[in-house]
This record gives sequence, structure tokens and C-alpha cells, in this order.
Amino acid sequence: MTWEQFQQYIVIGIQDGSIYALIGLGFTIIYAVTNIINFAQGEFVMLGGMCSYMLVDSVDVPTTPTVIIALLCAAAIGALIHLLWSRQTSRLMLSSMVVLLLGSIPLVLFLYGEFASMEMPVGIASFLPILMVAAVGFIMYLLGIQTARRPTTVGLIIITIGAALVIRGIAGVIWGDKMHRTPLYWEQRTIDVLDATVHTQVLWILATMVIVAILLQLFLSRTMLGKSLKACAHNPIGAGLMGINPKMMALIAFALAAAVGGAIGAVMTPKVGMTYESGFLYGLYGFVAASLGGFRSPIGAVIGGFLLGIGRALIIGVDWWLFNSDYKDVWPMVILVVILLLRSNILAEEERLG
Amino acid sequence: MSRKILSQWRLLLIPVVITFMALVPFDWFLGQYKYLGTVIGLSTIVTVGLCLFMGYTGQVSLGQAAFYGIGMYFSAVLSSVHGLNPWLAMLIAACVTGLVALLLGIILRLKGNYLAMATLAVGFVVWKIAVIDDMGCTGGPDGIRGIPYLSIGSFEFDSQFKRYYLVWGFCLAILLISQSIVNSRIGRALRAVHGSEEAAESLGINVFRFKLKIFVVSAVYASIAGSLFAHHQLHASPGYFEPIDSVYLVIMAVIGGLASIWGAIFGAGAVEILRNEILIHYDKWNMVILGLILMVILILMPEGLFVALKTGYQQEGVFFIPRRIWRLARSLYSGIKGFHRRKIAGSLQGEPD
Amino acid sequence: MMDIILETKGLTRAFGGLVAVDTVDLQIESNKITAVIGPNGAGKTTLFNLITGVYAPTDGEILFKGEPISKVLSRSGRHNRFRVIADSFINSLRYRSYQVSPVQRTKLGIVRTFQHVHLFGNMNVIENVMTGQHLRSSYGFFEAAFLLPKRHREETRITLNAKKYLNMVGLGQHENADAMSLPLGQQKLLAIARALATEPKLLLLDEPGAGLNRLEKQDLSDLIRRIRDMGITVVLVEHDMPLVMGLAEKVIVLDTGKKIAEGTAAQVQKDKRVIAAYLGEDEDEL
Repeated sequence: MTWEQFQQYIVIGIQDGSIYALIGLGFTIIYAVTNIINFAQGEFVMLGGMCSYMLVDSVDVPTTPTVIIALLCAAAIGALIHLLWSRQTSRLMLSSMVVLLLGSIPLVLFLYGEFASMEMPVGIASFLPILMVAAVGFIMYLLGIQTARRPTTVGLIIITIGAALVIRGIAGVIWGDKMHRTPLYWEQRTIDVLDATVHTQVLWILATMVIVAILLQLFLSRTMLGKSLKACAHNPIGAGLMGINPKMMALIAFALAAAVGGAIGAVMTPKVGMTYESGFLYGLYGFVAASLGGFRSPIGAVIGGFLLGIGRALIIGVDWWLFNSDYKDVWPMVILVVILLLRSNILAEEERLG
Repeated sequence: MSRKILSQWRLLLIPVVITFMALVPFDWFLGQYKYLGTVIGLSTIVTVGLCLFMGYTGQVSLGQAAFYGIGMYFSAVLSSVHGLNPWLAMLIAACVTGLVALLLGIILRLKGNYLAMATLAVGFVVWKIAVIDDMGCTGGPDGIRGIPYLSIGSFEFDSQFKRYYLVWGFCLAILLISQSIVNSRIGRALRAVHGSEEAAESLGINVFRFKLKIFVVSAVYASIAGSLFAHHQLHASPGYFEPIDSVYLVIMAVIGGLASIWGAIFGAGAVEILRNEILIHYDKWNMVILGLILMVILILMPEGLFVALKTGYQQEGVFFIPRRIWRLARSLYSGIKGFHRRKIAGSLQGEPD
Repeated sequence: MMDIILETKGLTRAFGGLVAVDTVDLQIESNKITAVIGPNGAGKTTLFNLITGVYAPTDGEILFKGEPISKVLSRSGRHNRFRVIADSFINSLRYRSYQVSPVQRTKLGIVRTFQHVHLFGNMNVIENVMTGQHLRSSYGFFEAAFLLPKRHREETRITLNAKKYLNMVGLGQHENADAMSLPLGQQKLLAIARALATEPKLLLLDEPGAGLNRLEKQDLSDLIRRIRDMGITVVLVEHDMPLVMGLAEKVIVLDTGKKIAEGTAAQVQKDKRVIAAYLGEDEDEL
């Protein structure tokens, strides 16, 4: 492998890695607060992409399901905003109703009414999906997780799997089998850095990643809500005694993780495109990234994501024995299992020896 | 409603069901569903293993389809390319799968969340290896053809009709074997592990070893089903055991009841009928409905649908309706009756002069 | 002639900075009823866990019938993460101590019951006890699956034994009841029957009297004496003083991990250190 090629592979690795990093971040948020592994995280990413596509192109999508979903999203957005504002669930219903009426009208109008022929600028088209997907995460938590009786860890996992199936199915119904792409943010496709070619959209992805990471960090460490989230992760009962409602925290964690997923989905669709099935693989990669970071640390997930991306790229590049492009997806899985085993082993040893 | 009548009715049910199932492949009965019936039988075999595993270890396996695939491929390759006796091939396939499960068993040391992911990873890797076909023996994405039929002496299982009975014969045998295992000391140990791992350990039951054993058993069951499928479809390809199929298997297990053996028929039947007959007309809604079913069951009845129905019935339910719903229905009914009566009374009294 | 069935030498277990059991030397005589008492947090349950093998000691050793079942070979000061990772790779280094596994210890005859009972809720009463016979039977998958005669023989023997133990604790007529349907007192008896089914030599009872009324405690005392008369050594952790004083032939007192007194019930009751441990240092109050 030549030096130029090596650089190129590193660049590709960073490109992919940034995506995995953000998805892994989403896993970490939910796991850190609730100890649940959200199998639907990949689907959130897919939804982000699909929603941005839908807003940008306003193509033929079947009306009924989208209208219903749009209404639900609007309601959830409203409830979410209300939550962040006043943190009182009792007024949830009322505010949901209000925002349902207010929020859904422009959304539906835009999709099917007056403004249907207008093309929404890509920037806004990428921002709105964040809210929409956050709404989906919100709904998913309320309907799926909170309502569960006697939730066992394994049971909750299966519930998130069910949710992932449902989301994927609905996406398939609405957007069909084809791959969808949204326009690039920047006209220019690639630029050259050193000896390698970098896809410009990646710069946007990286920028998104940095912004999300910083915002998240600030949120978690500076704001009251963020600190409550962290407290909940460490000790839900203790946090409860301090007046923090763990269910609320879980709800916010889900919405947040979904928002992050949606963001990355929206920002990466111009480059890689999205089908209704893409969520599965991305979710898996994100999981590996998160596992490298130990599941609780967002920074770990980010580093893990990059390691994963670069590792994969290098495996493709090296092309020796079993380390070639055929097996590029296999090795991350193997590493995942090895890491899981190592970590559990270490924990068990520490416990035994005190 | 007298429970005595109902329990006698249950005894009658068994021969009725058996006769029903035995008559299915006849064209004058439900012959057009021969293939579906066979598929249900195969799925039941895998599902029983999964139900037992999930029920007694309290963990999820999202990679069961991988063992199905290994059984399928080994049977296919050994009997077609190397010309081995299909029965021998099936035996070897089962042994290989058991060995693989044994080696993979170390992942059972992982906790719930992580084990689920590890099994998903395994399911994915096995599938990918079959697709990649690095060493040219799995036939890549197209798979292997030219697999012979199973045969006993000169009697070949060359028709759908015959294979239906073959598969269900195996299925019945496996169900009975599982039942006798569960009733034995092994079954008690498994139930002990499920009930309280700490207490089980204190009685000398090696928890890890039992989890491993049930894992291997479930893998072998899946392998047998896979082998039978290879000699049924006469085609082995990665398309038959994609990672999503493992999820469908979990749905079957959940519907059937997590520690239930006979419920597996119910679960497998429900999902396969939904997938192949009803929802095939609705394309993607397939996934949505199945996902919703999965969620609803896990939310309301974590121990599985069939088991919940069974316990509901045992707790003074009527037919199969669980007590809760029966009581709800009755209170609704009396509420409506009462409301109606009050309305009549009120209209007599409350009339303004 | 004193026959020591269980002995600990310098037994220590630390969890990070907290020393739960601190250099405890004790000797349990066979065929006697010994009680381990002490205020809450004294380390009694940790002691049980060490004896049954759930925890490995940080230092010291445990001998059962003269043979070591738990022995720390080398201490490496502060263990750090890398050492742990390395150890878990290399099996021989993994056991910095020699440990007989909990399952093996049950085979040797060391069995315990739990403070919170831990019955198998998914089985009925007799099946719970039959599970206790697991180690004393041997048929496997093959015999079980195909209903071979060996299975039938062993199942009959197991069932008979289970009935015997159930009758011994007085639950004979509740054979087929759901295990969780019994009141707490009977659940505790069931747990004891289950432990007896393993045919132990040393029975460790963790707070068997907790939650029982006076009558039940009376029955419990009688049962424990009958168990002792069967040739089983009984060690119990208890908080109920009258129960302990009436039952135990030897009492060992722990406080914050250390053994502070031992002797007969009468001797221990008068011991100044014991009184101080339970009531606090304020002797003016006495």
C-alpha cells in the first residue's frame, strides 16, 4: 500500500468513522440513562435521512400514513417543548392538543397543500428531521417502554427490536424500496487534502459531530436537566429521592438520542443515500462504536466510532488473507464479541478479588 | 361454566388436533397448504429450542437462524457435493452445529443486553460467511442446488405430501423429547436456574454449564430443522437464514410462550401464517404488524402469549379468555345493564311536572 | 473428643476499602449447633458467602474436614487493572488462590439457606425439594429424553427422599402446592427441606427465624435439634437472642468483621465486649 493510498484510506476511515461515532453516541445516551440498549437507534438514523428527503423533494408519498405521522410528530414536538419548559406531565395532554393543531397545519400544508411545489432549502430540510425523529423517539418511549409491566432487561430489548421493526416497516410503506438521496449542501463534491480526496459532505458531517458533541457536553455538565440525566444514570433511586423523575429523564434521553440519530441521518443522506433497510447495519456499527467506548462514555463512543471507521477502511486497503473488503463487515462483529467478553471478564475478576 | 366439562373437553382436543393435522396434506382437505404446513413444522422445531433457551436462561438469542443455516449448508454440501447418505449428513451437520454452539457458549457469560448483541453479531457473521463464500464451497449468494431427497431404503420423500409427514414426525419426536427432558431432573435444574440462580448454585447446580447445555440443544434442534429444509427445498442459500429471520424466530417464541414446549406450535404457526398467507398481500406492513405484535406481547404479557392464555385459563378463566379480560367484560356488561335500568327508572321519576 | 468440621484461619475479605471480614479464626465442631451473632453489618452473611465459595477471600484460608477448600497463595498488594486483564488471559495465574468452586463445596456437603428464602417459584413444593437431590442423582440428557429405566429408578428414589424430607420439616401434606403459595414460615421450612435433600454434612442457615412468630420459632428450634441428631452440623446466623440462647451449643460473636467473643450462650451473654457491641460504648446506660 502506498503512502497516498494509506492517506486515502485514513480519510475514508474518518469519513465513515464520524458517522459511526454519532450513532454510537446515540446508543450511549440511552444506555447511560436507562440501561436499555436501543435496537431502534439505527432506524432513527434512517428516519432522519428519509424525513429530510421527504421535506426536500416533496415527492409522491402515500398521504394517509404520512399525515398521521406528521400529526403525531407535531404533538410530540409540542409535548417535548412543554416538558423542557415546565416539566409537568399533567399538562402534557393539553399542550399536545394545542400544538397538534398549531404545529400540524403548516407541516401538512407544506407537504400537500399550498407550498407542495416549493423546494425547501436543504439546510432547513436537515434541521426539521431532527425534531421529527426526536418526536418518534419520544413516542416510542411513551408507548413502548414506559407502558411495559414488570420490565426485564431482556424484555425491553425485545420491545426496542419490535419498535425497530415497526419503524422500518412504516418507512418501507411510505418511501418504498428505492434508495433516496438529498442534494449536497455544497455544490463542490470533493476537495483535496494532502494527497487524499475528501468528500465535502463529510466536512458537514464532521462539523455536525463536533457541534453535537459540544452541545451534548455543555448540556450534560452545565444545565440542571443535563445533570439530572447524569444523576439518573448513576443511581436512579437516589436521583428519584432528590426529586428527579427517572421516567422523565428516560423520556428525554430517548428523544435526545433520536434527535442525534436524526441529525446524523439527515446530514449523511446527501453522501450515502438511504433505504428503508439501511438502519440495521448502521445501528450495528453504532453499537460496536459504543461498545468500544464502554457504553457509558460519549467520548468513548466517538473514539470508538473513529477506530471502527479507520479499522474498516484499513482492512479494505490491506487486502491480505481474511482482511479484505469481503470481510470488512465481519471483523467489527468479531471485535465486538471479543470486547464484550473481555469487559465482562474484567468486571467479574474485579468483583471476585475485591 | 363448569370446569370439569372444560377439562374433559381438553382431553378430547388432543386427538382432534392430531387428526386435523394428519389430514391437512390431503387435497380434499387443506391440500393447498401442504407447503405452509411443512414450513410451520420446521419453524416449530427451531422455535422449541429457542423457547427453551429463552425461557430457562432468561436471555435472548438473536442469532438462532445461524444454526439453522449451518445445519442446512452442511447437509446440503455433504449430501450433494460429497455424495454422503443424507441421514449421515444430517447427523454430521447436527454434531458440527452442536460443536459450534459449544465453542460459542462462552458468550453466555455475558449479561442480558450484551448477550443479545453478541448473538446478533454471530447470526450476522455466519450469514455473511455463507454469502462471501471465500473458499468456494457454499455457492455464494446463489447457494447450492442438486440436493438429494431423504429416503428410507427405497422409499424416497420426493413429494410435498410425504415430506409434510416427515417433518411433522420429526417435530413431534422433538416435542416429546423436550417434554420428557423438562419433566426430568435436567428440567428441574433448568427451572431452578430460571427461578433463582443463586439458590440453584447453592444446591450444586452449575448454572453456566446448564445454560450452555440448553444453548447447544437449541442449536442442534435448529440444525435438524435446517437439514430437513435442505432436503425439502433442494436448495440451500443465505437468503433462508438472514439476520432478520432470527428476529422472526424470537417473535414466534414470544407468541408461543418462553418456557413452553407445545406453545411453540402456536407461535410458529401464527407467525408463518401471518407472514405467508395474510400479510403477503400487504407487503411492508408485514414488518409493521409483526413488530407491533412483538411489542404488545412483551409489554402486556412478558412470559409469552400462549403461556399467558394458558395461565389465564387456569386461573378460572372461561375457555381461553384470561380472568382479567373476562371480568372486565362482565363489569362492562353489568355496567351497561345498570345504566340502562337507571335510565328507565330515571325517565319515570325525573320527568318534570 | 472435639471433631472440627470447619476451620478458618485468618480469614479476611475486603471490598475495596471496606473490610467485611477481618482476620477471623474460628472452629466449628461437628454434630453441634453453632450460632454466629453480631450487630448488623458485622460480616455474618459475608462469612457464609466465603464458606460456600461465592466470594474468594482476600487473605486467609478455610479448611473443611482438615482439607483446604480456600487458600490464598500470593498477595499482590494493590492489584491494578492490567494485572487483572493479564490474569484473566492466563488461566494458571488466574487463581492467585486455590478455590474449591461452590458447586464442588455442595458436593462435599456444605449447603446454605438464604435470608430471603429464594425458593423456585416456578415449581411446586415437592419439586423444590427434589431439586435438592440433583447432586445425589446422575442420569443425564440421554436417559431423560428417551425415558430409559435408569431415569425411572432414580426418579422414584428422588421422589421418596423428597417426601421423607418434607415430612421431616412437617410439610408433608403440602406436596403439590405451589411453592410461593405457602406462608413465609412454611416457605422457610421448605427451604430447609430443600437444603436437607442435598444430604449435607454442614448446614448453614442464614437467619432462619426472621419473620416467624413465637410458635414457628419453637418448631424451628425442634427441627434444628432433630437435624443435629441426624449427624449434620448446623451453623446459624440469627438476630433473635432467646432463640439462639436456647438452641446453640456454641456462640461466636462478630462485630465489624472481627470475632470479639466465643463460648457458650451464657458466657457470651455476660461478655462486656459483646454488650458494648450491641448497645454501644455507653456503659453508664447498663
